[in-house]
Amino acid sequence: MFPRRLENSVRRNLNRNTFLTVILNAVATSRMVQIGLAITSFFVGIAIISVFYVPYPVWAPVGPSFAPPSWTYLFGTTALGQDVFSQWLYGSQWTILVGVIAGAMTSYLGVFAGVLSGYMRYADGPFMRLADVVLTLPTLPLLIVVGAFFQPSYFDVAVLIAILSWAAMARTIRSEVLSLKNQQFVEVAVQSNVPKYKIMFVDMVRHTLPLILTYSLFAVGDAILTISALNFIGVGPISVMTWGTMLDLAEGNLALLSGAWWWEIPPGLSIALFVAGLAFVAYGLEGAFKKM
Amino acid sequence: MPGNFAEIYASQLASLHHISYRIAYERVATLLGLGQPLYVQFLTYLHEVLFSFPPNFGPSFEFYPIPAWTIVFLALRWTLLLLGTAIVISLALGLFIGIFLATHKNKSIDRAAQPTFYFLNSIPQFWLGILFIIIFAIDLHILPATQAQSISANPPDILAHMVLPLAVIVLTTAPGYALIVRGAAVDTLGSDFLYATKAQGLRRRRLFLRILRNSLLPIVTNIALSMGYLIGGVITVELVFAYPGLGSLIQSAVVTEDYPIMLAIFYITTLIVLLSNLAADLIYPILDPRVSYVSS
Amino acid sequence: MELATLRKRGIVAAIVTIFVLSIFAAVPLALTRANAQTTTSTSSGRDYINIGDLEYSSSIAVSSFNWFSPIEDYDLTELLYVGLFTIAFPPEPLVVPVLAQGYSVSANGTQSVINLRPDLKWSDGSPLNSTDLWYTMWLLNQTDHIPPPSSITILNSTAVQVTFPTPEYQFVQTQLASFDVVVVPYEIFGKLPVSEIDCTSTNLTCYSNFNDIVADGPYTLSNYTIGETPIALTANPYYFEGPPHLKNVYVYLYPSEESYVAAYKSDQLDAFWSYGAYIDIAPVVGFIDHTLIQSIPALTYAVLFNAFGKNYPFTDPSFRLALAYATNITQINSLENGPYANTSSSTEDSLIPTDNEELGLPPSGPIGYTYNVTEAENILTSNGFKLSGGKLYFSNGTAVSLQLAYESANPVSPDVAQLLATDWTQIGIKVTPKAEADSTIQSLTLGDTGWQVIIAGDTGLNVFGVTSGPGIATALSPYGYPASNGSTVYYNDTVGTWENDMDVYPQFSSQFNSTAVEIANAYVTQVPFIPLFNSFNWQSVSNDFYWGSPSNYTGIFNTQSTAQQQFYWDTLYQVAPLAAPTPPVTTTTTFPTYSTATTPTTTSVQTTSSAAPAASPAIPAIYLYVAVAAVIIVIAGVAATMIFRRRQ
Repeated sequence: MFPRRLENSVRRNLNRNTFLTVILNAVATSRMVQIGLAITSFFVGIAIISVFYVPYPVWAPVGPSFAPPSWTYLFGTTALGQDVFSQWLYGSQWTILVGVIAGAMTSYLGVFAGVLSGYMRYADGPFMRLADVVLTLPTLPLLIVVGAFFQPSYFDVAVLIAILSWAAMARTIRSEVLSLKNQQFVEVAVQSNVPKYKIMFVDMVRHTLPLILTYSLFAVGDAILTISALNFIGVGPISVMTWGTMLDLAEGNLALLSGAWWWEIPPGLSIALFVAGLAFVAYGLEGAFKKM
Repeated sequence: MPGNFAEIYASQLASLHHISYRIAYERVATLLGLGQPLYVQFLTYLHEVLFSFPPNFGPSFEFYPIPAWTIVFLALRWTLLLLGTAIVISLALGLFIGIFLATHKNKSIDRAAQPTFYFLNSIPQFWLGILFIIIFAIDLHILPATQAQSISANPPDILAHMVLPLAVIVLTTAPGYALIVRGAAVDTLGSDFLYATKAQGLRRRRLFLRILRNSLLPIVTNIALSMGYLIGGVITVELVFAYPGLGSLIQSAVVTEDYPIMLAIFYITTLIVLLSNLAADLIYPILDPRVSYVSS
Repeated sequence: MELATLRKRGIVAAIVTIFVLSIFAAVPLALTRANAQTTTSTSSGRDYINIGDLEYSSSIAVSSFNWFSPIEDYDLTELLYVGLFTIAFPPEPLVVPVLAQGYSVSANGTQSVINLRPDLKWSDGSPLNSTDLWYTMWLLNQTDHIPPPSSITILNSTAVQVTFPTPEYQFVQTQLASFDVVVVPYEIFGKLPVSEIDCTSTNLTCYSNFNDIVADGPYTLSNYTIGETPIALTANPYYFEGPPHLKNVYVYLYPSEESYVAAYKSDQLDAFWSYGAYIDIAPVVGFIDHTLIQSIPALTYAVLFNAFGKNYPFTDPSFRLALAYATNITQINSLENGPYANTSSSTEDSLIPTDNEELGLPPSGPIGYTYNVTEAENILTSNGFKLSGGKLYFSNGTAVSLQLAYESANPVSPDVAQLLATDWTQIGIKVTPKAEADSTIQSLTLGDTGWQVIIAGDTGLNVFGVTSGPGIATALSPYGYPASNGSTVYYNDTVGTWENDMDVYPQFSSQFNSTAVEIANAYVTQVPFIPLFNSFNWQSVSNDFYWGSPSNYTGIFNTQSTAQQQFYWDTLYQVAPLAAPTPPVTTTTTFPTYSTATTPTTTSVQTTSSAAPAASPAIPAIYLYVAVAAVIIVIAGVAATMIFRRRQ
């Protein structure tokens, strides 16, 4: 959501090996990437655990209402006596999954449009004008209006977010592809009759991978934030338990105002931490790629 | 199933006024010209929205027959006040903190600030808003929790009501600007022209201004680009603080399925983003002499 | 060297910015503090009150003050205009005259005479008499609010007679009192065409009554500018009960319950009212120096089935019965109503045991369904459904699933949807909860398509079950919906006929009573809906004001004034500042039982001095602070590093 200054300064030839080496180097040396990875892998870890084990059923009332945290209910209970810890654990699965789906779709759209308009001159005009239009659409108000009309599911919301946020990525990738286009390796490829689609979607994509990777990480975080904002306004999907759903239900029952901080702090703080973790990784990698 | 206004309005008429649903529906249908073919209705709609001033979105369902535009305009005043102030403060903070961090590149403060800023940038705004209400309004009792003004509406009163919403918006957006400015300022500090400028023996104040001016470039584009995001943030924050702006209005419109209002809000927010992009494009050549729209 | 200077500049600039910002924040802060001090010191002598109005529908502005418009702002219009009659609860009689002095119905039920109080005046001082009443009746007929009368005649300066072609015994109760019909000023409304008053004019005009308002309520406002906030109302010197004690009422509009509660808890507002289950007002329970009052029941929540048309399996009474048995009503009720669960009995007619006795039913009403999963499963399997592997299948092998629609803006409904989904999943049904706008729910129930099961909340009086008097629904009847030709479609013709009969017989005549019992028993066997629980009207009020005492019926507890409304907006008629000679509210913790008609308990009061109900944890600010302090400390740390770095 928040436009970031992405450095399109990766001008060197880059093959898969150097790309991996850079990433591994960054993981080994950059404190930023390490912290980010620690945070994200913690949440991914609990998501994996929650697939196999959740202490209580997520929706069913299992204890007294508004019970503060204790050994029985680690994070306390909700107004309906549901276990917040179970919800938080189980919610991590869907939160991350939905975020990743939205982020992946954003990247696919962005890469497709960016590479196409950067490499093919006739595609440039239409795609970039479309990108201009999409860039001026305010995401949240539009999602609210659409949400009010159709009561979308989580998957629908992920698709909508992708449709609304590919443009910035496409623009950056386009300029990158434009500068890559004049490099020798492309010329070699063209002259040795490598098909156009292969140059575009194999070589170009490989050379813009750093950009794609950092941008996708940001996109995942932004999608999670957008969905939670939708949930807060009350037009977001609540059919599956996610951290956004937890916040939605907690708001509905005035959790914080009733003093049930344990219901509202875990999902909110988890969203903030997870999104920040992703940003750390992305930011750290960006720096590493720049030095490459 | 999305609600059908004619049905909803008719059912409201019917249930509130104890009249038959059929009679109510017929009345509403005549009222809205539902007899016309669909494309005629749509063309009429487009014409009214695009070619009249102010744009005519038709009467609001909830405030019938007051035009939706009038209602949205009432709310827009407050939103623009909040948005404008938030941008000015975020911009100022972002610029100075960004330049400061750039001049302290790789010092401990810079290293500490970056993760902090990314974290601040990642906090859901509405969540922070509720925390602030609990702490500053309910527990500490030092700031008003909700609304934009009280009985004695005077500038200090309005300012006091703005502090908490502003704090939330600034705290979550200024770090983003600061990081952008930092990146730009680092580039500027390392660039050749700065060495040239130093070699010219310009006064330090001039030097600072040069860096400021060069760091302004990315932030101007980014404010324009992030306008959509900012408006989204302002909307959620307004709802938390019951600020009588677009956020509260869009919530009500969603609840009552007041589509003219929703469409008008969407139209005006898009217009704001569009205009701010235009403004950025116009300001750009002033800030950066290298950019020119006049073909040479 | 240059870099060091730059750094200095940066620091100076940052400090200046922070300084400017702190002035920006400090000035208003100081002023608010000063204001707060002055208000506390003079609170006892205050002649105004700040109140909030939770308006999901129009939180920016008031939509209309015209009672006849479908978009009128009910809460505020009610402050400006007083109803002719209102519905009350025991020990009061069912119909309580407010602006009217009384009414009478002729023996054959065709003639009703309505008498106004003598010497009534409009807020501009002009007399309010039978001309206005006659005009109002005429308008009600023109706008299809009442069954068409054969004549409306003015008898004298205060009495109007309405004559119907067929008997209408319940005219005053069902047409006037239930809808809180108000009298409108003939001088103002009489000059407008009817189509403009009820907002159906084809030239898109709709009278919103914003300018030159002439009203008869406790508070008035002569002109309303749209977008005005707060709305300043002033006492009406001509109010029939005398001008209210407080000169001004400032009304703030709130878009969400959350902000409304926050405003109240941060002392921006002096009074808070809300309707809903206990869980919704839990944040204001135990709020220091404030008194919580539980008053009359608000909405009855129930599960409605679309048993119309070809909606199998919902057309099958045994399927509905099985779902009723599989619903843990007691648990839902106790989770939603907490310590008040026993006063919000889940049966549909918890209100009036005496009426039940009068009808020949047990005092607790017809026997409902007790939670019994085995019973539910037995009913299902003996009716052709198959249970295997924890899933329920139709006889043809397809899995049973249902869509559970609920009102998204209603604070209670999402909770109930979760609980119901959990309950019904136990008997193997796949339940998909689906949030819908309130108005969508309303329009859905008007037809037999687009919905399967709905969680509906409506005023128990009008809709569910045998309550006081005829009380059977027509608006959102579980047995029928209005068809396109204006008649009502019932899925069970017998019950449909009974329901129509209810209006024709005089109240508590033998035919009336036997029909009511038939219907009540049909409800139990046919299960057109599953009653869940009642919600209440709640008020929490600042002790800075003198609100009266329930023991001697003063203040808002004045049963001599309007019965239902006294707990709502009309509370403000009576409120005196704390300085009033009578002591503040006495504490009673008895809940309304309605078991004996002799005990006049219509309220229960819970002050903070008594033990707060269990489900209300105090705000453990420490934990909250830890979370936020973490963020602040990091920022402070950054700032500190900035400063110390410079000195090196």
